[in-house]
Amino acid sequence: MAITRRAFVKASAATAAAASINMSLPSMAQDVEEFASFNNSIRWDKAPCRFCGVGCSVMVGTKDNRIVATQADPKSEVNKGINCIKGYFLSKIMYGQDRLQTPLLRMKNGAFDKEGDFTPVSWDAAFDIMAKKWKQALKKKGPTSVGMFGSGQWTIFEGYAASKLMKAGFRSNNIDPNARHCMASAVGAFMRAFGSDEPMGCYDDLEHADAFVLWGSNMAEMHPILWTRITDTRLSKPDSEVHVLSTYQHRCFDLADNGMVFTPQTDMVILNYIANYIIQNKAYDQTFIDKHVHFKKTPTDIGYGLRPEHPLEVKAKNSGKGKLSGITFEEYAKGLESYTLEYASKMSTVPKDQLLRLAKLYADPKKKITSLWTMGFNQHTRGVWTNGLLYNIHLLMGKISEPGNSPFSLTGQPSACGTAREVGTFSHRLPADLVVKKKEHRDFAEKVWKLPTGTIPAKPGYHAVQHNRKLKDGVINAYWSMCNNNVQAAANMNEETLPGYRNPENFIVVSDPYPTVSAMAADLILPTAMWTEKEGAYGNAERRTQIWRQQVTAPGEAKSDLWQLMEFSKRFKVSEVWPDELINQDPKLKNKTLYEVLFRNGHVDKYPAQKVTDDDNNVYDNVEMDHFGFYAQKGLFEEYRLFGTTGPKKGHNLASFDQLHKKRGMRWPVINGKETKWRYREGHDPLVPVGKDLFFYGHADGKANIIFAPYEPAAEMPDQEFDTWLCTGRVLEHWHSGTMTQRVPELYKAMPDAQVFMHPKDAEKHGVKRGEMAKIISRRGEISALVETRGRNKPPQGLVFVPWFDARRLINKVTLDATDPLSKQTDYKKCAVRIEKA
Amino acid sequence: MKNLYLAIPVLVVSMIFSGGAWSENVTVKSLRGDHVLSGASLSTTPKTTIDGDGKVNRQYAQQPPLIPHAIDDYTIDMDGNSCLGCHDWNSEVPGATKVGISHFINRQGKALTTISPNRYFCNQCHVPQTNATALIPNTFKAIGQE
Repeated sequence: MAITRRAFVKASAATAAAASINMSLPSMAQDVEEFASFNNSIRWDKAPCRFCGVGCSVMVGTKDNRIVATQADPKSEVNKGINCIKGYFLSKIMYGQDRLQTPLLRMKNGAFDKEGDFTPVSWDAAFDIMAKKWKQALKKKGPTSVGMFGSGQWTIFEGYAASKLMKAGFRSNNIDPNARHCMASAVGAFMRAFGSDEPMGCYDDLEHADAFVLWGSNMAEMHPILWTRITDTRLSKPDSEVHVLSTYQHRCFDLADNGMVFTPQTDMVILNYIANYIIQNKAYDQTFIDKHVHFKKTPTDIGYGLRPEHPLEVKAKNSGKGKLSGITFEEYAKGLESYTLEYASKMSTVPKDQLLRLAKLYADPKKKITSLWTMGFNQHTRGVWTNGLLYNIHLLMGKISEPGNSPFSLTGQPSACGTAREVGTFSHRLPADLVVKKKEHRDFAEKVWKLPTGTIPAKPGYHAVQHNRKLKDGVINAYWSMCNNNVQAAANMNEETLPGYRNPENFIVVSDPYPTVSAMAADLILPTAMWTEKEGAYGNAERRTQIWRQQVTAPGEAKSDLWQLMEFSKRFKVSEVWPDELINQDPKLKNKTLYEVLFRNGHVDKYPAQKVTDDDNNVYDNVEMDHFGFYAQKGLFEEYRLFGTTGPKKGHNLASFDQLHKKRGMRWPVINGKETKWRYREGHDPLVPVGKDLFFYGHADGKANIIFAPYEPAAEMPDQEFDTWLCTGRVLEHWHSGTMTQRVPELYKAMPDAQVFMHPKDAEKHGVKRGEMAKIISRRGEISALVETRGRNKPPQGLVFVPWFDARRLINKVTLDATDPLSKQTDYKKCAVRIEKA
Repeated sequence: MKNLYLAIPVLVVSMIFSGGAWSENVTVKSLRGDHVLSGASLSTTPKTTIDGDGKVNRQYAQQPPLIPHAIDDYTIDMDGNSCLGCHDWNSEVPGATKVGISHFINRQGKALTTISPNRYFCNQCHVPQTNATALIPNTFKAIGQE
């Protein structure tokens, strides 16, 4: 092939790029002069990937204020020089032609009008109308009438600033992240079992384990880089095994030694069967149990988190209850007795020999097991229970908190852990595992924030699913959604979300880089800087905090969420939003703005503007630092860090801002500059008291809870009218609602349409053919999609799978807004539909 | 470039809430184009996978090559990897891109004689392309692409 001039230029640039990160050079470096010139012209710097919770590091190549290439970071322990297909195309996510570049307000005749057309306005005009609407709502109905929907994709600084603005500034706990949809059940179970959120193990377990069990997680597509590590171990370690459980066959089954397709919701039966097997065969670790475990039970018949008047809620005896009570080992064993192999096989339809093999694996004291799960457990109306049922098994066997023995809750979003969970942007939480309902915790937060006692309200705010219900009911009237696309994500769009957003009483603001479905349903759209257009920090699923520098400037008037939050806070005087009795505690606050009180408090503005440089003395911009006149990201992070280093809950120590800038992330707790790989284990975790060996210090007595919970049915199951289970989820090529990945041509062309994956016999039964459009209809709405009977996902008869990335067919019109009553997380994996020819 | 969604007739659906109709303006559009949020799904047709038309150009060296052919008939599982039949380092199939040398170094940095097990599932990084027209043009520019 003749090499053209242009091709050659491209080739040598690429070679230079490779050289700058010490990769071996291809054989094309012929023109030394050109090589040198390109070597000097591309600046490479690290950043965590913008997509999933794995937290791969990428090298971002920048030239002339534009990203020209991205590649996997060979120095990252997470991904060691490999990305998935989405990660490889990060270079293009900021360059969709329809980037929003100016605020857009619905206007008619020169003024805001809910029925008006989107019209470009200045930031000043945008904040004017916003502030007016917020003040109206606060004056009329008080702090519970304003709300914010945030994100596990917010940077840590953004989530922290948002939480301060809402909980301390507006004194409203109505802030909740989209992580409610993905991780709330995991959090609930961690708190109940261990008294501290997030996994005890880390990704190193993937090399240490002898066996892997996937419970409701399609890692091959959703956590591809972790799947490369599991594949590595499975193919190179003798006698290693992979077990996969799912409600349909997917790509992980290609590596499975024991692949099991079970009837939805019967994971609970299988889990209890395994615990029962361990007890019946006396395989449990008695010494471990005596030293480290309590036995508890949880109230049953707790409903499905639907509106209170829903028949299922009216019928539930203990709707929403979760208070644990102590039981004996014998009582626990008795509760499990009915979960026999026969019963588990009958309920789940998994053949007995396969279930037995799985039970024997867990019961083998010599096998080191890493169990992994994501939305299959979390998006489950009994999600907290089900997460707990798996901890029960690991705790019975003592297979926990040591290399390779690891119940590992995977995360969906890049900072669901770092921002949503650790910063505590939920309606009931504060940073570092603190909660608003505990006075001691509020007092501590107020002390750190230098605010009067009683600033933070004690009552938890509305959670994510309630947000849409309360918007529809006109209870929340001023609402800001940032860094997510909830109109495409939240279940039951037709009956709850859209009527809520379009309720004439409400003013809805959506901040996004692109015109999403949510933006279209809003009244004001704010153009937003994304990913490396700002300095940021994310925390991944293995407790690793990673920081990046701003690489390029955002287009037009687009500004980061942090800029927006801090700038908006300037619009409010304390006297306008706080009651007199609170102000009287510190009268000098009265005429200050929320900006001054929250962000010029001596902490956040502690670090003056400085030049941001890397080890090679490259200089980086920081738009927020230029605008506000101080290093806001550093100040926010260092103030936030006080919660982990000096707060009432042990074990949330983060590394310093400056240290994190130098590292490929560090896993907390970081003590004396050193990270922790396995929490609660002496020798790995310095917070464990000497001589204790293992100490679950989230609970005062250092013990974890085994919590008995029975099987209870799903909220909605197939019947005569709606005869098919619907499961929703993601695909490899697209991230969440596709806002970024649908705008990358290579990713779009690889997976252009959301299809309905179904069994060929079901297609025949419903009178639809592969490649034809079929309707997917539930009691709440319908969509249509192309039928796929031979695709990567192979459902059993009676179940269909539809991904949710495709804005042109909004599957959340069909899904049910039933939640786990404890975690308030929606079950996107189970509702009843029927299929018809479109 | 022709946008797929513009070619589709506009569905007019009246939206009635307590306050009346609301506008989804023409100046800003989601990926639904002119389809209102409450409207039916856009109809679509199966796309054809680009198959055998030659390599798809890369835009930077670190980009994994896209697959220029259909892969419906290939399998990668515990029994074998049929991609390697043509793409292994010593393949003699004309035109088949050979697996890069990076794929023979494992996570620990050790050089191997066969493909590294952590690179076994090719389709995590390499994907085929259909003939779909990009929904939204992308203004990314590679080095040298002015």
